Amino acid sequence: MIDQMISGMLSIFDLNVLPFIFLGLPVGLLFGLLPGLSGVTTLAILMPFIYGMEPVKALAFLLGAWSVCNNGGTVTAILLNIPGDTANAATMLDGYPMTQKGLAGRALGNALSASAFGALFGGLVLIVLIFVARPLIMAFGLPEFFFLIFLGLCFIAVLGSESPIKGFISGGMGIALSFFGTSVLTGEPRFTFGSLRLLDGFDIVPIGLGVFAMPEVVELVISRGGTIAKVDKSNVSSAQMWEGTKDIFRHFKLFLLSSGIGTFIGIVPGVGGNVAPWVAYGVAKQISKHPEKFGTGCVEGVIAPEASNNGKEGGALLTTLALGIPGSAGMALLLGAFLMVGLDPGPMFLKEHLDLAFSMASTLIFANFLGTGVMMALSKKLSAISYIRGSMLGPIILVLCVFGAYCASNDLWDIPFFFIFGALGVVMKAYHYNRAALFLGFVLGVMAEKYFGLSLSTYGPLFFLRPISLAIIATTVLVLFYNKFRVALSGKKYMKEANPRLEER
Amino acid sequence: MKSRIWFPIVLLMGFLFLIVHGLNSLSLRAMRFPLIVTGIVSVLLLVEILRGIWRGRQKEVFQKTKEGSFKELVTHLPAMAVLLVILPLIWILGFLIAVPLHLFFFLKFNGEKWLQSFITALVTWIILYFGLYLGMKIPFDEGLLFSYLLG
Repeated sequence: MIDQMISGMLSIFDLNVLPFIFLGLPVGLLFGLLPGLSGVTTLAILMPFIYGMEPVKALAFLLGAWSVCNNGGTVTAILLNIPGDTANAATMLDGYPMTQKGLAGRALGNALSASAFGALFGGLVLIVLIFVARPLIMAFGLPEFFFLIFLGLCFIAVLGSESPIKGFISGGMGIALSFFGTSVLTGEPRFTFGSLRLLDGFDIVPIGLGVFAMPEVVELVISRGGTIAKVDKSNVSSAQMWEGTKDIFRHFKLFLLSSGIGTFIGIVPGVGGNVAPWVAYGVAKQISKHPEKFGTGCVEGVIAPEASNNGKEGGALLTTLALGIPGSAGMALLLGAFLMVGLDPGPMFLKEHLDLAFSMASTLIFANFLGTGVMMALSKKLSAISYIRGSMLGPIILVLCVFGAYCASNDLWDIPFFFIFGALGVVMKAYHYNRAALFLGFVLGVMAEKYFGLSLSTYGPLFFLRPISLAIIATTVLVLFYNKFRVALSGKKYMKEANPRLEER
Repeated sequence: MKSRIWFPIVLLMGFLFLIVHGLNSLSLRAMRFPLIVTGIVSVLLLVEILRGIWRGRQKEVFQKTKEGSFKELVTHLPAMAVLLVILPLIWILGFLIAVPLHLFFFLKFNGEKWLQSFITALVTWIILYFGLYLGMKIPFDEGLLFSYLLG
């Protein structure tokens, strides 16, 4: 196992793999800098480009982009008061006031260094926990795999939605989409309505692009008006940045605590990444000797959310890799990417591709440090990207999406499917249905049916009466009645305490 | 009230159709898992519809909820319609012409300057043609018109 860890971690420095991280990095930073385009949208847009790639390269590319997306959003949050993603909004509370005080460089140093070291913390926790998780997963059989998928869907449906019923409906819609094509148990055509095109079912790319990217394109087009960023950029000095980096070590306990909070929240599937920075910010404020300074440009107010924001990725990757339960929409897309490169997401992953799991952990750490270096050097110039008008950006993103939908299988029919799923995504977003649950349902639907059918035929109708299955079922029941704990964990309390004027996003 | 429940009603109809169609045309083994899933989701959709009707009657609760509105959705429709134009354009003119053309008119429609729109469309065409078509050998569809003209 140690050998696999070493070979997996070193595999990213292979000259055939390294360029893909370097390729993902600028793409991730670019999309991160564009307000309104979250990391999830970035992953959806990039997914078609990994077709045909080797798994290690494809995942290095995607994870490289995903890891640094937050950094781009951090820069615009601090310099322009525009968070690239909801997760960056907590950084804005103290980051932008620091910029107004002429301390933009120090704020950036705080945020970017906290991000990089936070990712290191999360990555190391991931590596350690992989060792713990693997023997546990080896004890799992077919029924356990089925119930794990069910648990994952429950997590994302209940915890990731305003309304659990809507979450379950969304997940069910996703599973229903996976029924189209050929039955995985009997091999007979199902819901194809005589169409040969539907024999293989729906392609994952039009669904991912449509559901996640199309609503953002429509929002951008509707925004029409002027630039997204409306304030002048500030001076960013290297000396200040260095000072900001040293702040991490001056507030090392806070950094460790925030990274730990982020990693823990990342491990809890379905809570989502947007919560971690707010909880860390709230905790930092509560334990601070001078809480009144929070919101006025306080160093701790920048370090805490950023450390937790990137720390959570390691935790989220653990449940995604070890159990096939994604912590967020981004991780659900990453599971979809596994399928595209021929890997089975879910519990079998750690059994069969342990080296790849370690390779992903090291990509996470490496890409974050690399992204931090690039952003420190170029943050001021790169933030100019935020001045691109939404009306200009929308059509360009649409072209990328249409191109992505087509190129996934060089099939013109995928473009109408992209629009159909895009319309579905727009409606789901407008009515607050859970798009991540739909996508996860689609990704895991085939496997859920396979494990269900095989469990039934192997163990009979009482297949759920195995000890581990019962434990997973008990956990699922807990999840279903988890709402009160969710409110406590969601950080909304902290959000309101931190800034009552800030709208819930 | 109607705006709140139209989406679950449409979904419920879709799910019921799948159940009826599946039961009529598929073996029980192929339909067992779909039947469980679609059955549960149909019940949940029914609950959601009833909730929508109930909340519609309680105006105060309706106003206080943060749920989406039909009005919000309607504002998205023109944008969706303009985006959709790319579909027939690709069908008729092919990928290489339709995409830059749509981009150009879309940018103009959004009030961008002629030169800016033209340069963006041109750069897109250059990337598509030289980078993807010639460079990466991606077989772009040439469209009905050119297929007809070129025989």
